Formats: sequence, C-alpha cells, structure tokens
Amino acid sequence: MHFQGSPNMAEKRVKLISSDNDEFEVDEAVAFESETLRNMIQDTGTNVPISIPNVSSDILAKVLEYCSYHAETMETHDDKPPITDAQIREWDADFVDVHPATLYSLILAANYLNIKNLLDLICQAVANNIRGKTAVEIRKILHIQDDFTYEEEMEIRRETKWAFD
Amino acid sequence: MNSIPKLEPRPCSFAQGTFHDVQGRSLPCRTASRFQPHAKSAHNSTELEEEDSTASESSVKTSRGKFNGEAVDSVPGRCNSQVAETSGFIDDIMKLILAKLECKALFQARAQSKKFKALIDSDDFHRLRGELRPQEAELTALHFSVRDDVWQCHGHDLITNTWSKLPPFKMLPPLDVDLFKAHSICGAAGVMCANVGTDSDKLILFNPLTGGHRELCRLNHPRIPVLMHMIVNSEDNSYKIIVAGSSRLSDDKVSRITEVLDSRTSKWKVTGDIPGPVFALNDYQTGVYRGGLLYCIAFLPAGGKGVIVYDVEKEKWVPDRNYALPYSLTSNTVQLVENSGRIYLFSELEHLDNEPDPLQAHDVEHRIDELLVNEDHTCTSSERRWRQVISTRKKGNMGLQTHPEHTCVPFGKDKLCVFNRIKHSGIVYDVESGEKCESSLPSPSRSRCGTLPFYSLNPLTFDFKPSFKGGVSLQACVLM
Repeated sequence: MHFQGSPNMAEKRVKLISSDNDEFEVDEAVAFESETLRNMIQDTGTNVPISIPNVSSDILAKVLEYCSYHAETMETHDDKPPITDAQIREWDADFVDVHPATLYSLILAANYLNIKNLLDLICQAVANNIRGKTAVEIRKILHIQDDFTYEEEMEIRRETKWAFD
Repeated sequence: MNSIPKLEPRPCSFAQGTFHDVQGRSLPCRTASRFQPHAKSAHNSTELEEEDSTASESSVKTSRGKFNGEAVDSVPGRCNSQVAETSGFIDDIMKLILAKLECKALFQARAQSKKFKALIDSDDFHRLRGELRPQEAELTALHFSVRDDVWQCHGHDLITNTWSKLPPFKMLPPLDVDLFKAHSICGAAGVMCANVGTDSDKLILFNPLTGGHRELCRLNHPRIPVLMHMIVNSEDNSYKIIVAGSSRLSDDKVSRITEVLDSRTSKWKVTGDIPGPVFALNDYQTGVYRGGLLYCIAFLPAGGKGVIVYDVEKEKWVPDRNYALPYSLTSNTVQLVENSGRIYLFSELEHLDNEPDPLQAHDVEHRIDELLVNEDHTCTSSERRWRQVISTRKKGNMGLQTHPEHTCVPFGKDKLCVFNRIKHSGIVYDVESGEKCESSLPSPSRSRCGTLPFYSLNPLTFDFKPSFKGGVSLQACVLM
C-alpha cells in the first residue's frame, strides 16, 4: 500500500525499507521532514530505495504518519482553511498518547532520522510523564539505576532538600 | 515549538531488538496508522513474526553494542528492549528529556543517579537548557534564610505566581547566624555577585542554578563597598560590576572612589570620584540602571539626600545631574527601584507631629515617587522632577535603620510591591493609577522549619531571572 501523504501526483515518490524489510512509499515532501532522509535523497536521488535498518515497520509507520501530517500542515489549499496551531497541538498530543515503550522507540527513530520537532515533542511527553512521580518511579520511567553510595546519597539528599520541600 | 540543537543522526546499537519488541507481541503500540508497509508476497504474518524472531535472536547473539559509553553484552534469548531498559537512553537524548523538565523537577532528577547528576552538571546541558529556556523564573521580593550556615534564597515567581526557592548558595562561605545580616548582593541575567568579605572586599560571582562561581580579583582600594551593581550585556554576555563608597569610617578618601570591573579585561579600573561630601554614599544599595546611567541614593553636594548619577560609558559621575528628594523630612528608608524602564523612589517617613515621643506609635507614611528622568535635568525645582505615585499612612513604630522592615520591589508591568521582609507579605500598587491592587502578595504557606531569617546588607529591590545560560557566560569569563 502506498502512502497517501499528498494528493499531488506530480510529487516525487521515495521508497523506504524498514528494518523488517517492509517497503514504504511516500512523497518526497514527507520524507524531507527528516533531515537524515533529506540528505540521503539529495545524495542518491529517489530512484534507489532507502534502507532504514534501525527502524521497524510499526515505528516507521508512526514516524511517517507524523511527517505526513506535518508536511500537510505546510500546504495551502484554496478550498480548505489552514490548519491552526491549536489543531496541530491537539493532533500532536494525541500522537504521543501511546505506551511508554512506543515513545522510547519513537525517540530513537526521531533521533536517527533527525526530525527535530518530533524529537522535541516526544522528549516533552516523556518529561511530562516524570512530573509528580516519586524517585523510584522516575528511575523506572527513564531506566536508570540508583548508583549513589550511601554517603553520596545522604550528601545529595541534604544538598537537594530544598527541591523536595 | 522550541528549536532543538541539531543532534547527529546516530545508529542505535540495539535498535532492531527494541523495535522488534514494539512491533511484536508484548508491548502495545497505539498506532492504528493508516500507513501500512507494502505487503510482501512471500510472507504471511506468521512467517513475518517467525522470521523477525529469528532475525532478532540472531542479531542479539552477534551484537556487542556500545551504549552510554559502555559495552552491552546481549544475552541470547533475552529481549533487546530489556537491554534498553537497563541501559537507558543515549546521553544526548537523555539531556533533551531532562531539559524539558520544570526547574524543580530537574533538581529532583539530579538526585536520582550519578548519571543524571553528571549530565545535569555538564556545561553542555547548561548550554542546551539555556537555549531552550533562557529564563527559568522571574523572582521578586527576594529574601533569605539560613540553614546549616548556608544561604537559602526565596522569591516570588511572577510567571507562575508562586513562591520559589533557588538552590542554596553553598558556593559562598558559611554564614554566622548570629549576625542576622551580612554581605551585599547584586545580580543580573541569572548571575549574582556577593561581597562575602568581612573586613575588606571579597567578591564572588556565581550562578545559583549551575553552581558555577569564581572569586573576582581584589579592588585597587580594598574596602567594603557601599554601592555594588552588575550590568550584563546580552549581546556578548560580557558584564560590568560597579562598586563605590566604603563602609569603614577611616576610609575618608576611599569613600569617594568608584571602581569598575569589565569581564573582558577581568580587572578593576578606578574611575571618576563621587561628587559631594565624603561618605556621600551612605546606604548599602545596588542602585538602578537605565539608559546607560546608574542612579544611586547619596548625600548631594548642595546638602541633603538625593539621587546622583553615574555614566557607565563615560566612567564618571554626572556633576549636574542630581535630584533632591521630593520631601524635606528625613527618612530611614529610601530606596530606588526600577520597573519597565522607569525609576521609582520608595520612602518610609515618620510623622512625629502628634506624638513627640518617637517610641510611641505615630504616623508612618509609605510613599512612592517616580523620577522623571526625561525632564530637563537643569530644572532646579524638585517638584518637576518627581511624580508622586502613592502616599499611604498608618500608625506604626519607629523603623529600624539597620533593619528596614519594608522594601519596594518590581511586581510586573506598572506594578510595585511594598514587601514586608519580616512577614514576607506585601501590598501591590498600580503605579499608573496610584491605587492599591486587589491582589496582594501572600506569605509563603509552607513552614520553613530549620531555617532562620537572614538579611543582606543592601535591600534587594531588583528582580532576578535565574537561568542556566548565565553559567555559560560565567565559564567563558573564567577562561579569559
């Protein structure tokens, strides 16, 4: 199935191969949301399929859904009112309303594909998840370990007491 | 949407396994994407799962990736997402996430692991955070307490309309709690400067958020300066610190001397003498800066108190630009405040007409006057140089000269707050109408057990905008 990113049939199409060897086809404008893909396309053209070995089909589909929507927001149509910032914010909020594991995969994909706004959006979503959480929960969400020694922990607790009052 | 500094695309060492897991069985994916990959004719979904599973396991068996700078040995049969979960994100991404946290949550996260502490304390992170959020808060009604001999700074954040705290000033020497009052402090653009010397100058420049600090070189004329002001040039992050006057009675000559430190040279330069009598600068203060000029409270050459002006660019006091106070009474509390580019004078006046015994309750007047600096400054009539903004009277007792109960602080556009430094509450005035605003500044609700109030030598009549960005400029200056 082809991506329906843009009704403009004159648009160049780009083929992308996911890590699981699935093929996606999108308009060039959609692929250009990614700096990495933009550079690759400018180097090799659109005739050769671009392999994205680090991104699986499900995640690539999500990423392209984001790119397609945001590429669309840049287009102007005489017959349709422009998409407002509020609508974009609402769409973005819905987009990141997913399981944390999916968010993490999206972060890595957005970083690899260098899609700045997507990376920004997801990092903010992860940060929002941390808000109001306990230390144990924060460590769990961000997959980090409490690696302080007892003395170090006492010291940093004393030092940071003001932030927990 | 905020701009994000460019991250180099980097392959993720465990990507296949992680994504396989998301795609596969256990981790739910919300996507009901209308975008599906091309169906591959050679595979049905079962085959895909099996193949992916094999491929994933194969990649796990052979992979030995680098993650967070440490080698990750993948265990056969173990899902790679578990590798991710135990290893965390790469540093650049973790910094981006941390940079999105609210300031207080950021310091809470800093206490969660060595990894976070190292990331948050790094110059790179300070730079990133400073770009994403150049200003963390707008703190006014600054006041201090001391706990475990360390300064704690509190302020009312005009952005969130809540009381906030800065990280303790542990970069400053321990305080003597019994003194209840020590050090002059000024600040600008997220950086503060404190004179922590007890018998002479010892100026420490510090960023309360980053903890970055440096001691400035000694003044050419050692002393405890009475005036201390800091100006930051936002274009190149350079700064100037202006000091003048002396609190030591034997320093007749030094009391006239002004010195300026420019971060681009890191040296103190003696500039023009203060006009008027010796010890003309007699009140600890920061002064207020507007349009290249620094305005200060001083004894005037013609006698009596008023405002004198220092031209920062020309490095001299402007002799014909003095402003006598707009009243004839003497006052223990006379403070200059700047807000939205306008200069105000706050005064606390005692009216003993009806009660000759100053120890008895009598009328205490709070008044705020605006200095009309755009008026022709050769005009001699003080009435034409000041616009009275408010005047309120209430019964009170004699104010303490060494410990003024009230300071006047900026409180957003066209608003000033007369802040009670003991009760930590305040009355807000609209400077346009001269009326009291309906909303006042309430005292902080939380108790501060274990802390004692402490005061700076100068009244803190300025607001402070903490920023991680200031740490970067500070670092740059250290390197000069």
